[in-house]
Amino acid sequence: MSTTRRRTRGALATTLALGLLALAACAPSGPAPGSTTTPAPVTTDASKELDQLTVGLAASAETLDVSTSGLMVAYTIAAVAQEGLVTIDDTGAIVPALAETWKTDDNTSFVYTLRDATFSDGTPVTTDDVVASINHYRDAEKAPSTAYYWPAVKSVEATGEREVTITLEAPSATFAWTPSAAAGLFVAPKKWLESAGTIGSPTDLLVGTGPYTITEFVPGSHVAAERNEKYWGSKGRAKTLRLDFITDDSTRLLAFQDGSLDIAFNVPVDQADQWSKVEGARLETVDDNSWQGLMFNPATKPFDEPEVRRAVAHAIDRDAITTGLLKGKATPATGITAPGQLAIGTSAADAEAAVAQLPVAAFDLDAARAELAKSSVPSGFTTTLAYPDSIPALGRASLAIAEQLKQIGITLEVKQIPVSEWSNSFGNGEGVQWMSYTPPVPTDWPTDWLLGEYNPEGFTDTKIIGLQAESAAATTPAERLAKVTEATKLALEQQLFAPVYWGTSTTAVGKRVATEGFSQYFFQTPWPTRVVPTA
Amino acid sequence: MTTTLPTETGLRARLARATRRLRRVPGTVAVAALLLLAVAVLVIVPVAPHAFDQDVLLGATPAGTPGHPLGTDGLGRDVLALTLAGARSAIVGPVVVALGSMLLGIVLGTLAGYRGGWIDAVVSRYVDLTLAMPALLLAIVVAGVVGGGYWITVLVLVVLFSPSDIRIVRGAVLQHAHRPYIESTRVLGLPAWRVMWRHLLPNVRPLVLTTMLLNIAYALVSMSGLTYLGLGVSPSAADWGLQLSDGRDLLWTNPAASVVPGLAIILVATAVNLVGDHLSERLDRGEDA
Amino acid sequence: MPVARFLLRRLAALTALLVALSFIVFSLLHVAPGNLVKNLLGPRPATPEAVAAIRERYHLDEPFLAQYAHWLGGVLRGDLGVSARSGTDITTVLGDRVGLTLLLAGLAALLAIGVGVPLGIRAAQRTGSLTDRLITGSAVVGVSAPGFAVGLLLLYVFAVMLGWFPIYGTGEPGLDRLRHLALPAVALALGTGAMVVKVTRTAVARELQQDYVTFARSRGVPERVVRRTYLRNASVPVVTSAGLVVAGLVGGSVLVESVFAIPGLGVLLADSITYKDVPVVQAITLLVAATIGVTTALVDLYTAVADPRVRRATVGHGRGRGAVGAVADPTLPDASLPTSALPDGSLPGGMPGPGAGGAA
Repeated sequence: MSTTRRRTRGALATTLALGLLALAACAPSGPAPGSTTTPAPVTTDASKELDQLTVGLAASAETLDVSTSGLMVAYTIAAVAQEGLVTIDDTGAIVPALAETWKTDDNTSFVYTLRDATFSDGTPVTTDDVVASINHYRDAEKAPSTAYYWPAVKSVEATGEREVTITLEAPSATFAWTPSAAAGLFVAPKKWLESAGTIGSPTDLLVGTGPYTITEFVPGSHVAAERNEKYWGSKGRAKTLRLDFITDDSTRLLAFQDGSLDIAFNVPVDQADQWSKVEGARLETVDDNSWQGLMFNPATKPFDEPEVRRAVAHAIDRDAITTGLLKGKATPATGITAPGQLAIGTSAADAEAAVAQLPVAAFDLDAARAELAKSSVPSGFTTTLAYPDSIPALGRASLAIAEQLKQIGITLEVKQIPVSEWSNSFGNGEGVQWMSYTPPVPTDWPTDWLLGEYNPEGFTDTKIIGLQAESAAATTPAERLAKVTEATKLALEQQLFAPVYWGTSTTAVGKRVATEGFSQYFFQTPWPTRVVPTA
Repeated sequence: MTTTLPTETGLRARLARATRRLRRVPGTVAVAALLLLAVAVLVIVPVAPHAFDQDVLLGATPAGTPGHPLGTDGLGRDVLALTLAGARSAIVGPVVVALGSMLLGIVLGTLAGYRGGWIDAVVSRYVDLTLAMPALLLAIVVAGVVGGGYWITVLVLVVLFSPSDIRIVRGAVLQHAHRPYIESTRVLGLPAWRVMWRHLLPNVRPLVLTTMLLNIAYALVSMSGLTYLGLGVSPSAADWGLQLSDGRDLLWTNPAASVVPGLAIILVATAVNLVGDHLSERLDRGEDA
Repeated sequence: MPVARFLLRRLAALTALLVALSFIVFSLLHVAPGNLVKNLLGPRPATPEAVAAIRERYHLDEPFLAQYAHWLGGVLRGDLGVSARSGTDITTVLGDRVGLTLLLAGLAALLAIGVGVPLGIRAAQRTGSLTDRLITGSAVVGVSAPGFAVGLLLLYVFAVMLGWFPIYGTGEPGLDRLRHLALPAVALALGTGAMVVKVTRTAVARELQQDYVTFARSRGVPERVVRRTYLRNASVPVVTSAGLVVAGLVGGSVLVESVFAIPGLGVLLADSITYKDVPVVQAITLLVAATIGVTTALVDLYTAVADPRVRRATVGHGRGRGAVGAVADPTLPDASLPTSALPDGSLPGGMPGPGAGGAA
């Protein structure tokens, strides 16, 4: 009697276990809820309010302090609660934020006139707070990540009741972007900056003037915020905001399908179809200005020979990589700094003309063979190429490049390494390395680093470095563009780099909301105010 | 408990015995054994190296694409050919890992359990230490200092797997070392190694075998986990674990790219355990399985 | 008080273990590739001043041993240090995560052991049967199925299709949290429970073959009593394997944590290792080691309690003077060894001869 019962129970347990196996085999291909919709224009409702806007972030944050982490996810969160003196619009141009107006006559002295605004702790914004914030966020020790955006400053002082003047040591064409929450300034109360134990920790939540006030931060889990009713600008349409860290792509997709998320970051190229099938979903794909390419170390054999560098460059099939591996969600790179960034302060036509001047090593295996034949290793050699585990696309691109190189006799051993190991490997003597640089700010050009004095591959060509230094000191955007183009041209002529692609990023927007003016800069602006309910 | 009949001799008798034995093999085990046989063939006979050449422009395609019954992976490589070719690296390493760690487990576990005293204290603390050591840290350091490579990975896994084997063996030995039949061998004055080897080990053997079989399954899964640290096989190699982790991105484009190698791992692991358990039971019953 | 002495001795051993482990982990982090300064500054050019400031703050220019002494000194003063990654002190960093991880690991252990042991016993009672094969087979499927696939499958079936559980996150403390942790705990248990199932099965099957079971049964001893006896005798390997499962669960759940978006110690440990965030890695490692040390001690204690003869060897005697060592001299049969005691004390049973159950 009891034996029979036990047997049934045993059988039940095993059936369940096997059922799981069967489901394991079919679940991924199972139909997704919802039907196929194409990104259709949506109608928004001007009077509707949302109780909560839920956003799924693809990265996780341990601190909300941008100035120490420098992470994009930290910028996205900080933009909710804090502001700089200026901010950027969807084209990357500067628009007012805490400063109602600002002016400069010589790109050296910048005068900002503050608007009346209140911090989330209830205190009004004073010039003292602004000066203290500037001094905090340009301090290399307290704020290494934001200090990078601050050139040498002669003085920061309150020059009037509502006026703050920043005077630089030397003119700068890009400084105007620095005091924005997209780059190097988050205005906070002076008292809080001085008394907070650890800025951006769960116990010292960010205090600022942004459209929302952070109420809770659980590292590795989520951030909760409520609407700042005293915000000076147009207010957010959701009463509360919840930013969840969901690092697993598939889990984020399930949560989005389920309707748990209104906005989800980082739709992987290979999942795009599945995401777009979610009812009412719209995918926003934008150029993210990221540059992916190979860097050669001219001090390492055999890459000290330009012929070898050129041979490798000619063996890269950019079109196959962008259209095949990346499903067209990338542009073959023919330069370093993306045209979208070069156009800042000038025009798209100027940027295109500049990129057109750059020499391109076209995909041509015969040319690659010919170059290699001229080198000291005509029959080829073996080298390794490591890629960071955080960017699997680079792994696949590496294998694609390895396949082509094999045909000209070069054996490329591809290796995956943790991202932190990768970012530490620059300039440590590897002959060829991947670089992937996603600039958070429109004025942060990859070339500033890659062609500058502290360049990661350790080349010492004084002409290139000199031109780059001139571009950094340029007083007009046009001058900066011209110098950078010249420096890039030299670097590409010597084939110190082999550009591969300029990337994109895709964000999924659910049926409950719509985004106004989505661009690659969207999440560096006070973005929750630009998310509106659909009708 | 011996069931072998004593009088039959000659080829015919042997054949008859073999048939009887085969008849006693349950269906599940027989199927599992056949599967293992097929996999063994794959391990020994290499698949045509060009069967899974990459086709970057093609990229990932779903199952049923012309010429690719199981579709292609992110690099446009044929999933079926890749899976067949991946058998070798997927299986050889894990088997070595299981054997190696069990060897450590038997030697150290038996010594610790039987000898007790300071040997036990040292071995047990080594076990606690290795168990508590973050595997990731160890793997990163090895990859960074020694460099990657398939066999280095196997070695790292042996070290990581050994503590649980040592503990299992030690626990079992401890239990048996104080049973009367072992005590009596001591009274008889048998040397310690002989007691351990001849009398203790056979008694803990079922546990040793069962753990080792399970370790093959664990190792099959763990090998792939280390690839992303720069250990393990090269990203271009044919390997089930690698297919699995790469295919994860393609779960929605071509599920076969990860489901098929995943199922292969599950099937092999289960088959190894079913067949192994069966053999172990027969050994135990005194049958020469 | 042999038990008290035993515990005291184990406590001393655990302390020594923690110190040794902290030193080893510190050294490994030191030689691991990567660079805290670059991790802190991100992938962008850094001026020598910025680099110098960071090196100064984290004592990176001091000799290796001085750095370790610095950390150890802080710990002895009760200061676990500050996380380099978040700039917050360790107690805040670990804070809720410890409770969350312990809850998750506890649930998973409960499932793995609570379901695994009965299944293992069931399989052993019918060794070789289809039930046995199915139980063993599904246990192995559980471990060999890729962790992320198991997690996604559970999510898909129980969260998306059936809607019984939430998809991600941890919820509010209390019942809501249990609901959030249910699926992750199942996923974890599936990945680790196989060892419990298989070891239980083997250990019980082994006891069932012993003569004392046959004798007891033939003498008409009630099955209930027989069962209690053989289960008790089989319990040592089972408890050992259960202890190993618990040891692996704390801090070993990276995959499950990331699939279910749970801020546990596993992901934090992995991230901190690659970031070279020494104080965090150290704190978590020591926490895991302490859990393992306590589990091990409990398992050993149980082994002793379950079998009086083992107690004398592991608990009763001081270090280096174990009972087994004493018998190594065959001319001095130790009177303290009860060579005639039976497994349960109450049952008539055979005394298996040397090599019983062996291949001979």
